Amino acid sequence: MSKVNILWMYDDLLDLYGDWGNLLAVTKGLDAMGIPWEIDHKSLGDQPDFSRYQMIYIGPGKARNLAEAAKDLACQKQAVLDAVERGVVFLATGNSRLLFGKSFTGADGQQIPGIGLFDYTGEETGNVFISDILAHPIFAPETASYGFINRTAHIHGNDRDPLFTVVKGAGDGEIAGESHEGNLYRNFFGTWQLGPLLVKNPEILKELLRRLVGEAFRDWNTTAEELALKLTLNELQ
Amino acid sequence: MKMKLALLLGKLLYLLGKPFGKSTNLPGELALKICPQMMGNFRFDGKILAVTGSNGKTSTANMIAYILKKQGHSVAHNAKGSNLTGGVATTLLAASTMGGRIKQDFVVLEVDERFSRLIFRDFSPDYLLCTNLFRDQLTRNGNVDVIIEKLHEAIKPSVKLILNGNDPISGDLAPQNQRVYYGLSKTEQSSEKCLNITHDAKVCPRCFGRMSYTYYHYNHIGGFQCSKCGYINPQWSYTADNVDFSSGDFTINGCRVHTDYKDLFNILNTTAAVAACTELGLPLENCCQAVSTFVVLKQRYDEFQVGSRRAVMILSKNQNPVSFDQSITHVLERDGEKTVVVFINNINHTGHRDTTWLYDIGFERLLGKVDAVVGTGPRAYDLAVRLKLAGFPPEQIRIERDLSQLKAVVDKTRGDICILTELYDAKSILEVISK
Repeated sequence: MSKVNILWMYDDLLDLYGDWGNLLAVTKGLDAMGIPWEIDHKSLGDQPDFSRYQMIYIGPGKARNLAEAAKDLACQKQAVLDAVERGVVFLATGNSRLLFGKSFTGADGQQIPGIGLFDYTGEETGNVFISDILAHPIFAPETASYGFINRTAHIHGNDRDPLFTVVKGAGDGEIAGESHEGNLYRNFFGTWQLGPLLVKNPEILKELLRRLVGEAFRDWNTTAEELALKLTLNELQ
Repeated sequence: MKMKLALLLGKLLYLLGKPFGKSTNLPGELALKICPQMMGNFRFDGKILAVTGSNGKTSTANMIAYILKKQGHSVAHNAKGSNLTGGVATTLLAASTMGGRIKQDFVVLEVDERFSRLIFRDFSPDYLLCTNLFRDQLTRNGNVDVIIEKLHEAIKPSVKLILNGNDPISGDLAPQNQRVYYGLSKTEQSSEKCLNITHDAKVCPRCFGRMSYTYYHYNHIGGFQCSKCGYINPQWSYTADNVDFSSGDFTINGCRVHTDYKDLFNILNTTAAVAACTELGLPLENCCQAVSTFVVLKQRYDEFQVGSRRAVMILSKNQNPVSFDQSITHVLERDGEKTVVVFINNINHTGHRDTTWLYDIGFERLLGKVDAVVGTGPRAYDLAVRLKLAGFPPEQIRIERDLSQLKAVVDKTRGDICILTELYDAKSILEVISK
């Protein structure tokens, strides 16, 4: 593999809560496999050339900032949808998921269109909802994962292509015992879960990297990550 | 009638609780139950100054009260950081006469930014000082925008604001209100690049354009300009300058000030305190002279001896990355060999196991500067992962999750022991380490 080009979209606008740790985990994984990488930062008005990138990351942001990002992303709707269909790896965490549904209602009641990759709609409520999540990723039903949800927005009608089966904590509907959270469609990973997700769950990181680098994938030592996860899961189980 | 009863019982509880250190919040809470409008019924002889912000409000409010007292004024002040509604109510009822009159020359109230609108529902300060606004304990507070909304609900049109001209976020509070700015010019410790991960003003708070900085003091505090709308540091009325980091001397509007606590954020807080007292009517020279003898609260930065080694307790707030970054700055300022001990707990008040906030802290700054980092507490192994990803070699990461076993691990390290923790956990660590 020559080089992995990663695009961090709206790095200045959507950068709320240590979530960039996901990118740190990805690049350290690539380092461990000896694969060179580069991260580009693009934001409002930059109109990136999506064909240059093998991975695109978008993190959570403040409500006002998210509304700005939504307007900008709307101008690039087709290019993003095409990139997803081509199999580009996407990671969208926290409220950036709202950008990929049909639409969402902002705090001021304004309806903001998403790019419609998924059928769900979103709503900014202003009420903080937090939950530890114990789940199984769809692609590894035997693997237990941990994530943390901290959101003031909610999504409705996410009934296609889930990423997780939830064991403990609330899924997308926030109903205890509700079974699904997040989305996995082609190589698009979307979730409310922070942690940062890929730091906290080495198995999910490795699945994402397998999809990112294909045959160049080599396993590496994640004993420390596994131990930290095990201790967390022990407390939740 | 209700007011009289509230004052009577509140004062009684205050006096009874005082010897046991239990009189900071309860008396006020009880009094407000009896008379919910109590705060609006006080009559103030003097000026009221409120101090809020994400970081530094306790130190700044303490400095202000110190300057005012040193200049011979009587001051009512919630000194112990009891900055929620109950604490403020307790401070006021304790200062009040039975007739509801507060005779002190000045009332200095440290106020939690999230509770400001509740505290100031029935009365208003004459001045509000906001030290800065950062992301802080997102599980409790929501983000900076949410805090600004709450502050806007609390700030009445008559309030004069004293604002940090180095902070594009808090500096833009309540734009219609009368205001005065303080600021710190570029120093030799300011940097051209942001040394921290947490930077809440990468985009302009007014127009979302990319912000450029000519210098950073720390995080998003510095010399800024928006590339799109031109928003730039406002004109300062109180300028800190000429910082001599070896002696701890600097100037405010040319007047000499001394501090033993030479961090940039403390110099800014000191400038804020001098600006506030000058606005309250004291001569600038007197304020500068008075604040120069202020000693930072021992509780937050305490040095002691462990056997043959020096140890220092550096308190920060958990899940508050800016506060933690400042603790790291303290560590880096110490000469000689040192070991850092970090206690990582679950999320305060809720017990959730999230450790995302560790990725907002620049642990990378400690690389190559310490003998080892010792992690303890419920989430110690998550710290180990954070340090591993930061690039620390395995032998420099020592983990003992069980606090009671910590001493043996610390004893195997070298140099001064720098303990980074928050107030809640400080005492238990101190007991173990100094055994």
